[in-house]
Amino acid sequence: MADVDEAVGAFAFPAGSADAALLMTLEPGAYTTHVAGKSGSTGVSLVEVYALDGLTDAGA
Amino acid sequence: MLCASFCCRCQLILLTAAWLGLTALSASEFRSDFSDGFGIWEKSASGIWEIQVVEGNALAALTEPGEQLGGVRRPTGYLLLPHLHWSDYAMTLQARTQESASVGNRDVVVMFGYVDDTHFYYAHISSNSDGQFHNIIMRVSGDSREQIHEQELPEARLTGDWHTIRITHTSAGAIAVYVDDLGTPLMTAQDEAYPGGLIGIGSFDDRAWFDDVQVTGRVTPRSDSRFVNIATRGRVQTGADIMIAGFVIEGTAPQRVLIRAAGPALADFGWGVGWSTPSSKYSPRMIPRSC
Repeated sequence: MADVDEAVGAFAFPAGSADAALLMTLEPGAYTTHVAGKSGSTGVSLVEVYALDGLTDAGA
Repeated sequence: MLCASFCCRCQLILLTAAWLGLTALSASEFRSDFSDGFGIWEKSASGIWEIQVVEGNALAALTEPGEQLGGVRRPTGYLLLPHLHWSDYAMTLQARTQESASVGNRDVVVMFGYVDDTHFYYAHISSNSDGQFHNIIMRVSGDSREQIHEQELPEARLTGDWHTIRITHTSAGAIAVYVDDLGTPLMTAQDEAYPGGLIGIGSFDDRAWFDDVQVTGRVTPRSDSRFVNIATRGRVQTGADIMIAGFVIEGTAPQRVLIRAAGPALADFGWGVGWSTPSSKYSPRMIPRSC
C-alpha cells in the first residue's frame, strides 16, 4: 500500500498507522464513502480518492 | 471522469446540475446566456475573456484575442465547454465581432468535435471569403489543418451586427454551418475524423461578443475521460453525522482506485484533529457504498 501511496503522490501514513485505506476496482457508478470513528470516536478526517489509471501495478 | 460531492445519488444529480451552471438542463440540452457568469465554460490559456453587461444584457466578451502558440495555426482564444462530449447535436449562438469594418478578415469562430487542443473542427465565420482560411470549415489534426467545406467561396456574411450561427454535426460526419439564414446552410462538409466532441466559441485573432449558446444532442462521457482525484476534509461525528464523501466514476470501464481516510495521521500536519480517543486505539473506518 505504501508503494501505491507514493505512486499517486499521497502523503505517507506513519508506520503502524490507525488510518484507513482501500485499494479496489469499482464499476462506473455513483458511490459514497462513509467515514466513522471506531467505537463512536469523533474527529477530523481527510478522505482522498485517487485514480490509478496509467500507473503500473505497484504490487499492493 | 470522477465528480465529487458530499452526498448520495439524488443530491448528486442536483449538484451536477448546479455544477453545470445551466438554466433548464436536461441530459441532452445545454443553454448559457452568461447571466450567471462563465459557469463551467473554460477559458483558453491565450486571450482575455470578460463578462460584460451591455444594455442590461450579460454576454461573453473576448476582449483580447489569443496568440498563436506554435505548432499548427489554429484558434487559441476561446471558451470551451468541458466534460460534455456531444454527438448528433445542433448548436446555436449569437455572435458579434468587435472589430471595425477596416479589419478585412474579422471573424468569429465556433469549435466543435473538439478532442484536444490540436484535434477539432472550427467554423470560421468571416467578413472575407477566400476559400482558404477565411469563411471556411477547417479540420485541425495534429500538426496540420485542412479546409473541408464543400462550397468554393461561401458568402461572407459577417458584419458588425449580431449574427445567429447554427452548426449541426452528425456522428456520421455531416456538418452544416448556418449564418442568419437557418434554412439553408452557408457551408457544409462531410468528414468522419471527429464524430463528436466538445464545443467552443471564440475568434481566430479578433475581439468578439457571444451570447445565448444552446446545444441539443446526445451527451456521452469523453472516451478519454479522466478520473479526477479528490480530497475532502470534514468532521466525523456519530450516527447520522458521520462523514460522507461522494464521487462518481463515469465512462464504461472499471476504474482502479485508492481510497484513503486519514484521521490520526493529520496530527502530523498540525491540524488538531481532535479525535476523542487515542488514535492508537480508535481510527476512522470507511465503507464505500454504491448508491
